[in-house]
Amino acid sequence: MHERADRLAGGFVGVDDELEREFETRLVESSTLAFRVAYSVLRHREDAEDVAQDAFAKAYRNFRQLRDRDRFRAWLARLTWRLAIDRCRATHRRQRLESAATDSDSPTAADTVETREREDRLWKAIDALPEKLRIVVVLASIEGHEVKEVASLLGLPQGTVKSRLFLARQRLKEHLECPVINPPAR
Amino acid sequence: MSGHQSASALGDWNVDRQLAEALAVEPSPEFLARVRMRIAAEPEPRAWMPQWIFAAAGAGALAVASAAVLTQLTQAPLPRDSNQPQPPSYVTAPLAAIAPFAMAMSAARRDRESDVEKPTPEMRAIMKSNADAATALTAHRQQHDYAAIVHDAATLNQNFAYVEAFWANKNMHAPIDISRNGLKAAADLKAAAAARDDAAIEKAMTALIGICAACHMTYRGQLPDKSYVIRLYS
Repeated sequence: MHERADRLAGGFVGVDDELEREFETRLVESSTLAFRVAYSVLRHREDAEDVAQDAFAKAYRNFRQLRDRDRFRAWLARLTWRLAIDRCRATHRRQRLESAATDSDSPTAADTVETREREDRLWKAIDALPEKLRIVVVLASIEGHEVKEVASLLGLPQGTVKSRLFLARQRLKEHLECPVINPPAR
Repeated sequence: MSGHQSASALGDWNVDRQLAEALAVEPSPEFLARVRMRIAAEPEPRAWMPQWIFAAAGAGALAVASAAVLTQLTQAPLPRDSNQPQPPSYVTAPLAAIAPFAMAMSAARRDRESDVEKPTPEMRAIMKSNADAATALTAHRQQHDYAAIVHDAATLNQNFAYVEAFWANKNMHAPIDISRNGLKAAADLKAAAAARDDAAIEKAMTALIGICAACHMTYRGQLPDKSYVIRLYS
């Protein structure tokens, strides 16, 4: 029992040693991705960590059934995205996003006000995108993913990702460059 | 993405750059440890082999029974004039074949069910207190609030003492040892916080995570209704 506790202190322990080690490797390499995907939806650090934790717990429960383990990141990204969307809808988090985003930063200089305004506008524009465009543009912006990687993460053809990315950027541009229709959020 | 650089040239509103900056957030340093703890507290996923074997055995038994029924129906009429009707062999044979397995499985299940108990409200409160203390501890470590960490360690110490007494009452040595490890880790944490030694605090916290996880993995079960039970076996 002591050995087991010692082993646990070092990391993840589950049913089968080899599977555990593999999951632990996936956990380490994908934790930031899961967190950022959740953060892109929730814009709240603690909530994003909670959702990413839920996603990993769910992934752990179903890890054995994942036939192609190399698809783990893609699987996790979609799972986290879905859980984050669910969380967002369930708690009406979106109404509180402005204040949460404001709380999460620590303004120290006057120019941060302008930065925050810009960031607010950006997030509002992203939130206004349809979900299938939003996830593409978000994943493309996380860790500098290229079209090929986003396509792999979403299980979509590269051409589809390219066209969605193009459309998403066009809509963002329209949204952001039209301050009359879309005044900067305060 | 490189193929679309022209499309992303949005003048002052360089969306790609801004979004990349907005998403360049890192999870807290404790995030991985918390995920590991959460996963360790998950009920173990059921192994696929036994399920598959039992499913296959069941399907096989069903197939044998069906085949026997079809054979009997096509080859021999049912006895209609018997004074003391007996179950026909096409029914008894497959049942006799699978009965020992069914009885063994049923007995094993009964044993397991009798070896668990629902936690008392007091035990639930202790576990909740532990979880709250662990959450607070994470925050206090981030804030370098050593006095608060000492307080968290005292709470954990008190809780582990309760847990040790619980298992002592059950006369189960393995979980008693785990509880004692918890007491030691809580004492280490307290000493580390008193000495303002961040590395030692980290070490004690890691040990505590492992100890909680070890106990939950082995002695905590979950029922289909999502409620928890204490397993009185290891």
